[in-house]
Amino acid sequence: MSTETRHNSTIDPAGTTPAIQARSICKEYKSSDGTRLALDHVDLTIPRGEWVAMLGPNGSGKSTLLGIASGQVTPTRGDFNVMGQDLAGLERQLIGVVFQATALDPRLTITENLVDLGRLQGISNDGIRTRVNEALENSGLIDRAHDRVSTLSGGLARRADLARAMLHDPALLLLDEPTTGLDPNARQHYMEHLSRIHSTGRTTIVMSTHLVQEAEKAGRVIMLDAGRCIADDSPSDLCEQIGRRILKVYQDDFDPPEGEGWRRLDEAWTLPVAGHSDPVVEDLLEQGVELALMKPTLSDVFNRLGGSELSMTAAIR
Amino acid sequence: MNINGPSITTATGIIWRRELVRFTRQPGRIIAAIGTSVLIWVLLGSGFANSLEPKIAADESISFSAWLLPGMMTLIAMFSSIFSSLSTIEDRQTGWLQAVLVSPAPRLSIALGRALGGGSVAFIQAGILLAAIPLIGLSTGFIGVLLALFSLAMASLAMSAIGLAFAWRCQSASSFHSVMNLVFMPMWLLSGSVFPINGSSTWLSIVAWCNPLTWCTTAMRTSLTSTPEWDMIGLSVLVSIGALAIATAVISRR
Repeated sequence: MSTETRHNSTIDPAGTTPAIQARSICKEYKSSDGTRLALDHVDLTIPRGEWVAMLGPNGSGKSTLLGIASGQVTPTRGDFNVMGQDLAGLERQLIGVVFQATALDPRLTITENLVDLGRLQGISNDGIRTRVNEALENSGLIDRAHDRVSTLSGGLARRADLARAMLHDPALLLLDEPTTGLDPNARQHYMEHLSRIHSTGRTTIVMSTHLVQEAEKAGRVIMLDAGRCIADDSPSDLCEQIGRRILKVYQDDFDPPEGEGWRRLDEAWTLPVAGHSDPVVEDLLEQGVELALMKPTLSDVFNRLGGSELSMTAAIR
Repeated sequence: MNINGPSITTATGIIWRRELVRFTRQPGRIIAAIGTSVLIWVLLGSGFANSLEPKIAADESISFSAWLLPGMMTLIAMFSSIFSSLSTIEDRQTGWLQAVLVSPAPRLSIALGRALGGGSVAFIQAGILLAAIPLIGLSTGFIGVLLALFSLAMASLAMSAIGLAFAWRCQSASSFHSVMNLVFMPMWLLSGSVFPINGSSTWLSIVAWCNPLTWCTTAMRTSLTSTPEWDMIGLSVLVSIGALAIATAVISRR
């Protein structure tokens, strides 16, 4: 598709407005127990063309933020703009959304699903077949085009669902934990496909995840905890912020000294240190404590900044 | 590529067609809806024949089985509408509905497409029973059959739209079933489908004649067995328009 026909080109020819701009966004949910604050004064600017991962545990506000960006959820307070448009006037053709569950009808074939949902996105009857075939080629699903969705594996169904979300060539692609339920192999294929979409430079990608391995693929990571944005930077810069190395002690009987900032993560005691020559490391080695020095991961960063645990066991799940 | 979203007619047509395609791929659903109603028809027809046949024969000069036919068509349409509405909950759980809701398709088209789709399926399933006309001693003319089909279409559309409105608000299939049993079953029982309204107690007659399903069933029955009652046919049209308006209002509310 030529850039002249892209949706955003007609709205903002210079492409200067951010893909997403949020100012002091709050979202409250009322329940029988009272009011729960899902988002607490979140400020956010995502320029066009970025691949952003929103990282946080369940209940941190990731899905709510994506729900607001896709127009499904109305914020309680604050301003939210997508491609320079406010939510009330948002042209929905601009966005593609991948939900936690596959949004395809299991009784229909992949092609039938894509034709119907593509037409509902506004793709003309004349162009839909070509567009569907292109999408299936790009997704490696052309051989399964006439298979019912109910016969596909989880990984293939998710790829078909991504093809569905990309069918109308959205300027902004929102993905809510898109690899939920996939095995590691299928997850890797999915992320590679997402990388290819991003490499075209035509689509801004905002993806929520609680898996650090997935967040590391993005160019920018926004960490959310209890509805607050606690960190926002590239994965490498975030890791550097907390120290050059993470000291990990797995001994069950280890009693960490108070006041040094030891934290429990993944059944280990952890502490950011400068390296092998750090006095803490030398002191522990002299005591005969079994330890490991590792490069900090996003999981360590989250643990340090958020206080809660973004467990590596979640990554395995 | 078209920058605009789909028109209401395009989006309605797509959603409507999908309901029909899904229907053809669920043979169990077709068999269950028709089989249940035919079974109830046979059992009720046999069970009440001795007690109600003389009254029906005296009042309307037809057999009880023939008199029951429109009521059974209403029952099939009702069962089918409930099934179709259930798929709304299923679609929300599988995510298909979410994909439609984030698309530029107008909300009105979602209401129209689903109600027309569910209504069409109900109409087809219930309309099949008209094939029994020669077997039960009715000599309905072509116009009578057409008017009965039209009234059935209105009833199917109305029940499908009301089912959709309830399903939209329900979070689970079990709660939807409970609501449907509470709403539709009494409506059907009080629609003159199973026993004649004339001759029942005064309060029951008043309630029955206030029941929109009575108007649709009566429109079908009079079209099939005697002189069509145009006021009932007109009321059936109003019922379906009102039901569509309710469904649209519910779906449009965020």
